[in-house]
Amino acid sequence: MNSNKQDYFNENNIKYIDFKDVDLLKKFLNPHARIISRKRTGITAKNQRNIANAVKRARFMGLLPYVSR
Amino acid sequence: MEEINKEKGDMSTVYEVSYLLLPSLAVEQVPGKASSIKEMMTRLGGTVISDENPVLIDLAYPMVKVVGTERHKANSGYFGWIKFEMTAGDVEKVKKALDADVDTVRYLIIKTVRENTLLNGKMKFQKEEKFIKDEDVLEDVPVEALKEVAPEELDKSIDEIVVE
Repeated sequence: MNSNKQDYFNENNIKYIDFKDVDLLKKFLNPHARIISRKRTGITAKNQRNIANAVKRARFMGLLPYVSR
Repeated sequence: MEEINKEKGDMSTVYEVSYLLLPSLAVEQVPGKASSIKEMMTRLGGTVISDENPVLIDLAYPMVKVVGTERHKANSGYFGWIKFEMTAGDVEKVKKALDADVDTVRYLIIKTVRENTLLNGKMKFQKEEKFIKDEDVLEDVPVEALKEVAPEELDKSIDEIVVE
């Protein structure tokens, strides 16, 4: 995730971030399963909020871990 | 405008409920359980938009479900979801029904949009990944066959151009 890269979701024309898309959400997690900061993801504030929400929902349903390693 | 609103009654919203069923359920029981949840939605005044049948997944961390005095520890579960349209008042009833359900480890009700939100159209699971890989192999074969044909066709077209 390069900082000067365009927003990932605008590039791929993704309008709604679904918490069940685990593979997509994993792109925004570091090896400790923490959410990568907006500084590093380079996505818009709106999408970063949506990503954070989706990750938290996926964690609750056991699709993603709260902590790893 | 007021008339339209009156016809609709309370504004209905698109919701999605995802649930985790206990892994101790037999595989044969799972589709029945899923359809009973779906049936409950329509009984409570909702209209089902789309759904996916529960699939056994490994959980990222162990969960505990307490039924009476028993603690069920789950490392895996049947994960399924239903997207439906309902009024806000009726969703409360869905919540209560799922709270009382002994087979659901966890459930999550969220507001969503009517359109399909999954990138692949379906959730990707380990078992399905294998299936998709098999399909890819099948798709690759015709592409190779096309490549073999392509040079001959090229030669022909080149010959035609040369003749002209």
